[in-house]
Amino acid sequence: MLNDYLLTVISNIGMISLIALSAYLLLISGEISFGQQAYFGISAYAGAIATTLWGWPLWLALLFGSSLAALAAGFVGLLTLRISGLYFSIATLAFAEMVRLSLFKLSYQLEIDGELIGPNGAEGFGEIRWIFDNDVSVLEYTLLIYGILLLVLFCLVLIERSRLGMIFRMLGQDPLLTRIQGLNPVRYKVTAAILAGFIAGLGGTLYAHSFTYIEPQIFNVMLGVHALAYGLIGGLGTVLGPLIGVAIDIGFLESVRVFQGYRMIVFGGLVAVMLIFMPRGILDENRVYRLKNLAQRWFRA
Amino acid sequence: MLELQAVGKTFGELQALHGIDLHVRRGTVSGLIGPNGSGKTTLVNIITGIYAPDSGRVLLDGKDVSRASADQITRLGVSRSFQNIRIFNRMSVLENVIAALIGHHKPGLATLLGRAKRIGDPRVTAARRALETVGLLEQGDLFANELPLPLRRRLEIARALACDPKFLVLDEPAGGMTPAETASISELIRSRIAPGRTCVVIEHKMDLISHVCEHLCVLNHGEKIAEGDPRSVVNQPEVIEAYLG
Repeated sequence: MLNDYLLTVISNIGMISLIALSAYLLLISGEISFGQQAYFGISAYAGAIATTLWGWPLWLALLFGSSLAALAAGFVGLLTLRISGLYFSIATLAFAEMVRLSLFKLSYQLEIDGELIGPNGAEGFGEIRWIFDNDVSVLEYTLLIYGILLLVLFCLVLIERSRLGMIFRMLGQDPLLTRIQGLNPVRYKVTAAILAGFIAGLGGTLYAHSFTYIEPQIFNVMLGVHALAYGLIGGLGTVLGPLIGVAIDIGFLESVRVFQGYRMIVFGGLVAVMLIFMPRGILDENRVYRLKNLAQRWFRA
Repeated sequence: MLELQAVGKTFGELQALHGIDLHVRRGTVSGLIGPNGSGKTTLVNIITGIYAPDSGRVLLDGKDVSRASADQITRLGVSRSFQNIRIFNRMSVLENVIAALIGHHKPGLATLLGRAKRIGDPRVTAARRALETVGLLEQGDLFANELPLPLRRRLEIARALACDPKFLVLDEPAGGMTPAETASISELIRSRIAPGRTCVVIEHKMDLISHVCEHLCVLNHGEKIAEGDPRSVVNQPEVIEAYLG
């Protein structure tokens, strides 16, 4: 039987995978965002407010939080249309910090059962008790997280095989050449930002309900840096890449006792080594293509 | 078909093009030559919408496209290759050509969500046909960055050709090639690419120009210094002095 600690690690891997997939979608489209934690945070607060203060069911809160995150991502996408590279990264970081600092000022409390409940600035937002009110066990909630993660992975695999996915990868390689193929990069850059915001948003609402307490400090820049690093470690050739990155960090470095206390040092070193020797990660486009060809030949044989 | 009227372009202090007039008739292959820095690529970038001219007009089938963006120009039926090869390196050879067929008509949601390499998809068929035309069909499953330079040039041509463009611009299609490779690409353009198409070919190699072009325009320091039949143009004293001498 899985113990609660192991289940917490597994569910954490699932939720963080969602923000990693969100950063991955932008990475393959050629944009390095240091701000995906903003959408994770927006959705965490919005989703938690919806269930705790408004009494919405979780599925509706998930949809609400993620849609709000997607809307914010689309807005930032539109604002940053004319910038790319380092300037885009700085703009996303600045927006994320703006969101985090705004959460310190956010106070929205309602009296429920004689108690004031809701986000209250730096004190954070406790009593997100949907999981207890609905008698959901850790195992059941972990299964829910993985169900949603699988659904997102399935959709991303379909997108990757589609013409839209091809356009994202074209944009990631050469925006001018993409334009010369008759495609307006603006349209697809904003589409990628909205999709990425929605996916990060799913992770955010799930996170808030899993930990039952959130505060602005959780959604700091390190969460965004990790989200980026997961894709860069695991590889940008397949949607499985970021999941490998998350598994290496949370599943291995955070969980194995020998690394405790040194996790960030080992993780930082790993990112540096990967960027030098495998700049597009373990499963980069070339390796994935070769593996697919190998698998096809094997199946034919 | 394509008409440039007094097209001018300046970059800071540098006047790259001075009031260029050019007329490319439908179904002809025109050559554009000139020494390095003469303004050839700037002119091509204006024709294909990468730059907007500072003065003058670009007319395509009588329509003023001077202010149209590069993607709009492509959708009007203009395709090009690049002097410095531009391919999608992290995609297969076949995918590189399919890429050109997605945006040919502004794609709707159903098109975007459809599978890119579905067997039987007309885009895949057209891409294979274009690869066959340039002799690259067998390499279709290779990663584009695995191709040697002459085949990359062919891949660029296949990509430009795939959507059956009304107007094709080839920017130094034999750049960096050996004489044998140049002869081979020259024959390919003459026998399989040019017939029935309107093309502009930019090249330094006179063998290729005289082999494929019916009309020649010479630029020097951003000005047109000669125009006409290739054999007579190359013998004009200004051309010999500026370019060939």
